[in-house]
Formats: sequence, structure tokens, C-alpha cells
Amino acid sequence: MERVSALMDGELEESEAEVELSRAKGDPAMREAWDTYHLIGDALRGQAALSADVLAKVSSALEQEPTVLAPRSRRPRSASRIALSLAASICGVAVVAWLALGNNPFVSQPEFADSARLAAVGEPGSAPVQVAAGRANSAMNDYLIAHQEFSPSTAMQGMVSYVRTVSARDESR
Amino acid sequence: MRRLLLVAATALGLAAGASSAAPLADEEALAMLERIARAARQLSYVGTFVYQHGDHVETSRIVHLVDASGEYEKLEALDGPRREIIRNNDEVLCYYPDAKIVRSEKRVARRTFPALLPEQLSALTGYYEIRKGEVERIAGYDAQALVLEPKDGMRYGHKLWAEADSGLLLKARMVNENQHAVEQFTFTQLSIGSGVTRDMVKPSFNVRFPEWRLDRFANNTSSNVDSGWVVKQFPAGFRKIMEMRRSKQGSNNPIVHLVYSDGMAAVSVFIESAAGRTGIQEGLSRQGAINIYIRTLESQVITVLGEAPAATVVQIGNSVSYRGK
Repeated sequence: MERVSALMDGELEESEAEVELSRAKGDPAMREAWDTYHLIGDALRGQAALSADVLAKVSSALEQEPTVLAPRSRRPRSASRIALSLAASICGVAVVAWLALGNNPFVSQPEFADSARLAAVGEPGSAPVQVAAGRANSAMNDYLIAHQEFSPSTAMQGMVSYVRTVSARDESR
Repeated sequence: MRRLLLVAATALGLAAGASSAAPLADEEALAMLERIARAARQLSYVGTFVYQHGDHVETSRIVHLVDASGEYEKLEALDGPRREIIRNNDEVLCYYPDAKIVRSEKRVARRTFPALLPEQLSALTGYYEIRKGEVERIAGYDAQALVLEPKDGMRYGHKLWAEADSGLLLKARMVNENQHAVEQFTFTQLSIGSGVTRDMVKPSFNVRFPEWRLDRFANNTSSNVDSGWVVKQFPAGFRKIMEMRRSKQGSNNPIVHLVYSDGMAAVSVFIESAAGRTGIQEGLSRQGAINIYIRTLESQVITVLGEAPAATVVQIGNSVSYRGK
């Protein structure tokens, strides 16, 4: 199993990797491990093809660039605004305004803190921080998942707390 | 009648007493928290829970299996688009079948995580007042409540309901300084112990490439990393619990990841080259109970996020600097 993992991680020499690959074909347990890791090697090799695909998607997404509610900034942000649009487009995520969530018919929980009313905070001597009108998109999901591992809430309740990461809707295009 | 009044008065007295219980002795509070963490790690269970944050409600199913070969877990969203998160011991795989994406994340150092570190636990009582709450019935079980009230505004309050026999967490609520819930997890159905099999923790999707895409966010903790990056003014009670370098698939720029925790909340700091980033959205945003603060520092993008008040992530973000090696 560890060999499969090492193979997937590209930690083996090429000749070594080939041996492992042929073993994986013959050994049901290894093949299962291989399936579990989802032919990562294939995916890695597929990256070159992917980048062209991403470029195409980005350019077409830019043409239909959504209106983005970006946070105010202290400096001119033409470059970063384009970058933001790029991020949103690549992920297929138009930044969703919190206000849109107000239409949920099941919402009647006044005891819950209202995200839209999150107070602007600041530090003495620094400009106040504006709350973004968006929610985290899938580009942030790597960070959210990586963070969750170290959150004490994961120690207290296991993977239940991973529901905090970005939902599938935000991952789909 | 007099007897009835007496009963009523006694009941009221008990209720009042329960809500203003004296803070627990440190050892007792920590023992209760350790028991919860141990139950989460050692018990097999399967259940359905509801997660609420802001005006958002979603239902998920969780299966946790512990056997001789280790720990396996499956989290499955039951509402809306399909999503599954699978854990096989140290590896976490997130499946997004609509987008045909699998995210992979290798967990670090199981000897310390997910168990709480003893020094993290002992720091807790300095920054939270911990009291026993009432006993409530949740998902058919009796649950003992535990209240952690923050002593300052740099952390949220917590209320935890642990199953009376096993210590397994049945409900958890995080509240802000106005006692408004920031998020809440509640089991609506739960079965502890028997009946959990390996089949129940397997992914539901038959992943094939290249239709699916794999995203890996690797970490490297083989050596004790000194990245040269420091947080100068983190809020009292927080301490650094991890420092590592990560690499993102398709990018050559390493990402520095620092984690600070006060024992109940964690805040992550990610530092990466702005050149390697396709999108930079500076400012504060949030994902559920997680506050996210992004700023740029020279050619670096600093992303701070955690289940802590906005003031805490902003303070940490604004005091990140490069001290050099």
C-alpha cells in the first residue's frame, strides 16, 4: 500500500515505478489501493492537456465576466480586479452576494448571527477593513481543507467539521 | 398546593443553579474535553447531522470506523449537489462529482493530530471559563452540556453536548460576543458502536481520469521547517502549533503554512508568492464560521483564516512579517 502511495507521489525511480505498476496489475489488493488513489499518475500526466483547456475556459469566461462585488481597497486595483475575475472564472464561481441567500424559505433563525451584518473591524492606526460581499470560492478550498486538519474542532468531532469547507455548488462550474 | 409550590420552587432553583454553575476545576474541565476528543477518535459510529451557519442549513451523513488497520471516515452531503469527503487514515480525499474534481490532502503527524495537545488543553482554562451545563436529550441520547465562555473578544464561545455514556459529541454551537450562534452542528440520528462496516466508508464514485481532475495540496513536514515568516502580535492565548511548506499541483511556488491555536480555535496563515496566484481578493470575507482575511505584502499574498472572530484573523494577518532566516 505504501509502495502504491510512493508511486503515486512520484517518489519512485522510473524503473522502480514500472515494477510497481506491473505488480499493481497482478495484485488485487494493490489494484484496489491504486483505484482508491484514483490513478493519480494518469491525472498528473494529464496536467499538460489540462492547462490548455484551462486557458480556453479562462478566455471564454472573461468574455462573460460577471459583475463582481469586490471589497474596497486602499490602492488602485485594476490588476487585482482582473485577477479576481480570473479566479472566479477559473473556478466557475461568480462571487455570490450574501443578499441572495436571504430568499431561503427555511431561514427563520434570528438567534443566528447575520453574516451580512458582520461588523467592519479595524486596528488602531490601520484603515478599516471592508467585509467582502462574497463567499469563499473553490480557490480557497485547498486552504479551508488544509486548515481543518489542525482545527481543534476536528479533534472534538472528527470529520463532521469538514462541512465548513466549500460546498459542491461552488466547486461546480 | 403548598407541596406543589415547593416542587416548583425547587425546580426553578435547580434550573437557575444549572445555568449559573460554578466554573469547573481545571482538571475536571480538561478531563471532559479529553473524553470528547477520545470518543471522536476511538468510537465507530454512523449518523446524520445538521449544520447551520448564518441563514444556511445543510444535512450530512457521517460514518466513522475504527478497526485494527486504522481510522476511516466518510462525510456525505445529503442536500444539494453531491459532495463526499473520505478519510483513509492519513489521507483525505474530497469528491465533487458535479465538477468532476477530487481533492487530495495528506494529513500530518497523526501522533499529535487529531488529538489535542496537552499544553493546548491546559492553556484553555486561562482564556475560557468552563462550566457544566444541563443534561439534554439529543438524537435519542442523554447529553451533558459543557459551556466554554471566552474571557476576551478574541475568540468565540462554545457549547458542547457530549453523550453521557461515551462522551461522543452530539451537538456543538459556537457563539459570538452577542451570544448569537455563528455555527451549530447537531446530530438528528446516530448509532454508536456496532454495525459500521468498511463498505460504508468507501467513496460512492467511480473516479476515472481524465474525465475527473485531481487537485493535490501536498505538505512537507519531513523537516522542522523554519520559513522565516513570523506573526509578531498574535492574540493572547494563541500559540504556534505547526509550521510547514506546502506545494500546490501545477505550481512551483511553495506555500508557507503556519497554524496558531488557543486550544479551541485555530487560525491558519498561508503565505505564497503573488506571482503564483491567479486571483487576489484583498479584505475580509467568510465561509460559514470561518473568517478569511487576505492582504498582500510586497510580492507575497497572505491569507489568514480560522474559526475565530474577524478581529482575531485581521490582527494576525496585519502582524505577519518576514524576519528572514
